[in-house]
Amino acid sequence: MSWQTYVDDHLMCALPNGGQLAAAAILGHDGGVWAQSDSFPDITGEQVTNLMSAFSPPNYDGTLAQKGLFLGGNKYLVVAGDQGEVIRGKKGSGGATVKKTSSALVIGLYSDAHQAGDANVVVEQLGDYLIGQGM
Amino acid sequence: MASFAGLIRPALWVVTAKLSNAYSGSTGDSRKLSETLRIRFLVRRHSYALEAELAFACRNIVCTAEVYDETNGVVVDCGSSTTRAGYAGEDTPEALFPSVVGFSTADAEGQARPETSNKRQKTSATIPSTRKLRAGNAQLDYRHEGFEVEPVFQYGNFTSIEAVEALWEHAWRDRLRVNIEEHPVMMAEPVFQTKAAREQLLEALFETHKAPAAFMAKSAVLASYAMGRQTSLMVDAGHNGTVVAAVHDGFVLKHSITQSCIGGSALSQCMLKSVEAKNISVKPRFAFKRQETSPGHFEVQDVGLKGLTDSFCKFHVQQIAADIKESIGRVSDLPFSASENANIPTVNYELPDGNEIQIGPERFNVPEVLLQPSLLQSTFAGVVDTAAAQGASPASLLDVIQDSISRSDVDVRRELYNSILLTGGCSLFATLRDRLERELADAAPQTAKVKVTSPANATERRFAVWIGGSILASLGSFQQMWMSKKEYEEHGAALMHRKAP
Repeated sequence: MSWQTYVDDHLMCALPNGGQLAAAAILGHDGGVWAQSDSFPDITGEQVTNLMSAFSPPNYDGTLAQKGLFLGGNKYLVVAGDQGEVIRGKKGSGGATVKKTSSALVIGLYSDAHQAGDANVVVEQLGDYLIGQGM
Repeated sequence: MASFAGLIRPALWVVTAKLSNAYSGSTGDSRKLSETLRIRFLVRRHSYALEAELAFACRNIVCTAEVYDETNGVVVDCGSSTTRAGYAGEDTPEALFPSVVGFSTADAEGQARPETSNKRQKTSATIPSTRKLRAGNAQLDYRHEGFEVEPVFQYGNFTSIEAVEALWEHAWRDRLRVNIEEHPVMMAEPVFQTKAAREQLLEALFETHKAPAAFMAKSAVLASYAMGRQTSLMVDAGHNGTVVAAVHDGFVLKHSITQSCIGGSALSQCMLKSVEAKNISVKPRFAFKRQETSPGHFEVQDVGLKGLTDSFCKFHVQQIAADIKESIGRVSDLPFSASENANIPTVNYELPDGNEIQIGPERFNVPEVLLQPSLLQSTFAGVVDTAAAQGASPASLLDVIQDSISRSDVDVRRELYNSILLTGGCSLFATLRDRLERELADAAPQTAKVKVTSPANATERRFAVWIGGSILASLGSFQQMWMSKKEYEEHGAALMHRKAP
């Protein structure tokens, strides 16, 4: 399966409680885009470096919580995530979920407050599957 | 709902009188008692207590109470000092009882619970899993030999899942009298709750108690909803300590969570120490009886405390100390020093055994510990076991608040300073809000406008978390967010971390 199929069928799918993610992408740890949906913003190299250090000790997402999570031109407030595995951010009524696998970052953006739980489920389930596949 | 049943009774007598008249009048000689008349009372929520009342009132007539509206959620908030439980949509919790369980060392009844999964191996070192745990005021006042009392929450998460289940069962079975298999459960949890603890609770809820749906919401978020704010810095000054968390649009900013181990329980112990320093012993209510020696004159006689455990006596003495603290404790307007104010006018307090004590500077000195924790080393040394508080050191309220704000996102800080919400038991000290606002305004950066708000109503202050749960569980837009039993069976308890991070 190509990476684009992963994004189109497994991330941009219909969510359990209705609607769908606003945008999604799978990036490598170096910031290279493996696949993305149409409206996914451009992420700069520096933003990816910050993300990667937020997944690692000693600070994890402590500094990100103070400065903010930047994806493209948008700034997200960091809310509860899973240390070293998932970073969740929110902006207005939408938000972002970033799941780290062994060599990729799965990112999902949603725009409706009610989709937060579903977005987490969709992004993290794909991430778990990739981890299981060794990617 | 005792009052509800009380109202129903007179109306029911009228109904049954009319019914029996009509019944007997029609076929005079065929008053067969074996023939039963069925009446269905359509009620908003199913309640065994109501059914029992109806059955008693109607005697020969079989009554069933059926729910016509959608089943209400049940909101349970297990706090460190009291547990609150009630129906969603109401404005106060129906059941309120201490978060303390009692067990009898001589109690041989109660079988070992069947282990449903490996995760339930953990039980507290002091509460054996085969003992029958009792909860609720009536059970805790029942004194007999070997009856130990232990708080369920100690400076963090619960000591054993069986203790929490004992609290739940008391709330659902004895107080609310609901069959929890028919009601979704909204649980309020502390902001620092670990993932493992959450999973344990969910497992117990779905597997042992068979709830149809559940949700676990952070207490800071619920208290914020209760006060009508989506964004705030929630200061929960509770029993085991103070927890400060920033809430933004209904989400807790995890890194802004800070804690202090100074709370209501520490203050009660300080008050107890001050009273005992005057050579007055505080006797629990069961330790004495008043005998009339001559008409109108009563003498207090000690009843032996033989056989009663330390923990039991300590629990009841703490309740009296807490009452002293609550009725006469005040936060002074300016930083208080006991030595400067040694000649402050005293107030009287009458202990249960009739002793009247005079409280002077301690009135202000004890609540001052909240804001000047250094008193715990000087005046009240050795009172609070600060080493036992894991992860929470004794810190002043001001420091905890400022620490929390400095750890949050820079863009949100101004908004947080502007909307500091003070809730919890310790916020009931009337002057705490003013003092906090003044001192924070001095300590905060110049450009920040500091505003500390607290609900005007004392009930709302104490139960803000429960009220928020009641609000959330009854919102129409929330109903799609419950985690159902089916989802639990498909995905396991870990799904809750994604649905409600």
